Amino acid sequence: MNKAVLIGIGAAVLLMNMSGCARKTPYEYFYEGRFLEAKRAYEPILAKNSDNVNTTLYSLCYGLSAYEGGDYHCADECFARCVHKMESIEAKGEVMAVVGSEYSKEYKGDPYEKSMAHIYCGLSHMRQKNYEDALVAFRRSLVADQDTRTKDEDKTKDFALGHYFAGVCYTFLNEPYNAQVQFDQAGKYSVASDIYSKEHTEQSNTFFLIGCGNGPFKYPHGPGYSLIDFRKAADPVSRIELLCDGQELGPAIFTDDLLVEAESHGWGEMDSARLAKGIAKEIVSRIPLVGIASALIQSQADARAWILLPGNTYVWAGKIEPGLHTIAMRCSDAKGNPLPQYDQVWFNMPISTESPNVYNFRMIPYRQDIKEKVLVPCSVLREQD
Amino acid sequence: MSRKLFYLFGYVLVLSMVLVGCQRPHVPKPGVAPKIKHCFDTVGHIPGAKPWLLGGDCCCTPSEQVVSDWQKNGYFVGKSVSEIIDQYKAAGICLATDHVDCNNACEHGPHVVKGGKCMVPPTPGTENYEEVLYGCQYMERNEAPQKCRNNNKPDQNTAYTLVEVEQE
Repeated sequence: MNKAVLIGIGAAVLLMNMSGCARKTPYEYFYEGRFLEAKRAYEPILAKNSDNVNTTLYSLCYGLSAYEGGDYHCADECFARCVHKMESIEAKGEVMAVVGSEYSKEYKGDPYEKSMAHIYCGLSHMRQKNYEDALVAFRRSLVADQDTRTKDEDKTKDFALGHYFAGVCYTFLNEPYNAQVQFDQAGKYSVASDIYSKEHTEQSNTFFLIGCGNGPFKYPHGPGYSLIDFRKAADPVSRIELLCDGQELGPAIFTDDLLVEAESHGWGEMDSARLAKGIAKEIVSRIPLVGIASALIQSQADARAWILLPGNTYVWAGKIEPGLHTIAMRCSDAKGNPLPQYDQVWFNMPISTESPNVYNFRMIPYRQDIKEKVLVPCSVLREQD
Repeated sequence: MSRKLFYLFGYVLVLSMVLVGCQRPHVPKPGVAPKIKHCFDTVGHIPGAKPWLLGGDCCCTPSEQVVSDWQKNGYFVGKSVSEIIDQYKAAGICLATDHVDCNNACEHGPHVVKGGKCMVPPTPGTENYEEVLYGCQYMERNEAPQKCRNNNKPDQNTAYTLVEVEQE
């Protein structure tokens, strides 16, 4: 009997690992680069969580799936709703969270998450050439960054992506002094580059935002899991070279590591209160006969996070002749070794005479891998319907 | 005997985890763009292309310029732009005049070439854009329609081997 059970468990584990499981989660679809399928997979989850403390979090994931999948029509509306919720003062379950679990509080996002939500809103306005509203959104991303509790003043204004795009908008609005102030801040907190100048922006008609790697996640630990560490998966990509029709355009410029942004949130009174609860929970759990009462003490830190964000962000700006072009991105690691599984090539990319052309790319390993794929004519897909 | 079984169980567990986690070989998509099959607003109308509504491959939004070319080639002769748009709407097809930037993931999607009802130009720099443009789509073998599951894998060094796949 024991032999049969062990063999059965082993076979089940082997089958599960090899088969990849029947139905994929939205997260799995997203990190395979199947963004629109991730969006569709989030729809029933959103429907079930349409009015609770996690609605905003699921909406952010849904919106980002739509955004990376090119469904800007849906993403723009979604992000606009989300930033409104994240910035509003009211929070469901705030009182309960003080005495009970932090999971009972409406998700509002950490400063870095609010910053990124504003960035996506700003890019939406930029695509529609609405530079005033875009500037408001990018300035709000910087305000969200200032919300970090750190005493290090530099960390309250180090969101280079927000500074950069604010500078771009100021350039388009003919405010050169303000533009250069923002570009200088962007250059100070990322890497020195020619793109951080109003002259370069004035000559550019194309802007790329490139997201790479997995965003930060929260790791609860310590007494009663009351402490939170931010972590993210290692991302081997260190350099992204851009090419247009085979000609090198230069590297994408690294702007932000979202793990650094997340970690700069610092320590506050709520964290102290939660740690105290965690320590109390540990102590009570060790007292004979009353140890069971420790379950009543809610000390676990809120580990909810917008896990679909990229880990690192890059930008590129420059002038590309109007017309249709092949845009390629070649990735390499810190030692210069090529990472072909991250490379991407996109054909017939239109560059319009009406500036700016704003494009977004998400580097996912094996996104353009065709090893286990077959080519299916669209006419066959039509027959199926 | 139980110790042997324990080691066997552990071996199977570790082997399966290792096999799943191994770096897989990467086969990139061909580096050469195939021939455009369906034109739409973003890439520009191909002169002489037959409108989608009449069984052709042109998915351009009806406009003065596009309709003029259609009529020169004998399509929608005598109809105005608004009348042609009404015909598309009567067929349940939504156009860029209704909304934009959905990448055919809206409620009317997918794109008409894939069997949906959305003829909004897809978003450049996405898989859907190239699938609509070139009229073919890479799919996981086990997710592809049954008749395509035994298709040969395209040669990565050449253009898409669409001629072998689609025998029309």
